[in-house]
Amino acid sequence: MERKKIRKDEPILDFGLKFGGILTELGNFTQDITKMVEEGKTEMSRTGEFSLDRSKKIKGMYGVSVRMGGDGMPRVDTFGRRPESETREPIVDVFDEADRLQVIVELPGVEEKDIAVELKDSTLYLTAGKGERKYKKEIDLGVPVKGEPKKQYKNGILEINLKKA
Amino acid sequence: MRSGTLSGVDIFDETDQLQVIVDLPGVSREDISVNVKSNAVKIVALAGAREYHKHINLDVPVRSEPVIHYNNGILEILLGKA
Repeated sequence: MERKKIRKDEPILDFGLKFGGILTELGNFTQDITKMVEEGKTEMSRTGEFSLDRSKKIKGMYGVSVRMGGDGMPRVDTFGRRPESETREPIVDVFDEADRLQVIVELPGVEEKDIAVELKDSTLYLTAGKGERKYKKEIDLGVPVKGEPKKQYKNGILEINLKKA
Repeated sequence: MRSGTLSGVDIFDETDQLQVIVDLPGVSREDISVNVKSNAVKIVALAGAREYHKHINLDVPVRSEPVIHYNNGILEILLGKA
């Protein structure tokens, strides 16, 4: 069955502008995207280090993830953490599947018992983790839902299923 | 002591070994391959629609037999210093 994404992020097309010189360090990333399409993959990420001068005095890190949207347009996110903030914002996908919604949240490094999901109107309020690994996100579902959210957590991925009202 | 941070990767220097912590949500242990060279670690994880490639440069040379754990989407690699 064809899955339809309802997240309305605008695809970023100006990779070069956004990532500047880092792009050259990403190697054949655009080729990777082409490969993704050919192989039907929906998601991939690449991270690594780069240095801006030969003496390697100026070093940096990069991280890029690409997802294929339902409209066939790749969506590119940079990710990482903000040093000033201990709480991270997880990567979230919402899928519209006929009579229900499926929400996929990346929560690596937390225990299932430390995940809390609260539904209020058509917004999910998510908090997860403790200590060094803490996540927080408000997810606007866009459509009204009913009943309790059903949760399943495995290998760092939280799956939430909701019935449409 | 924390010696390096990049998106999804932490490296901790623990006297006689390095501890590398990598976020790899949504794969299984058997999908992950870890390749250690003297001063770098290459991680590839292929699991259906998810694909990860990570190349991590290390500041110190390490031995090539890593100890690997995977739990809750987190990969831990322990590398003895050479």
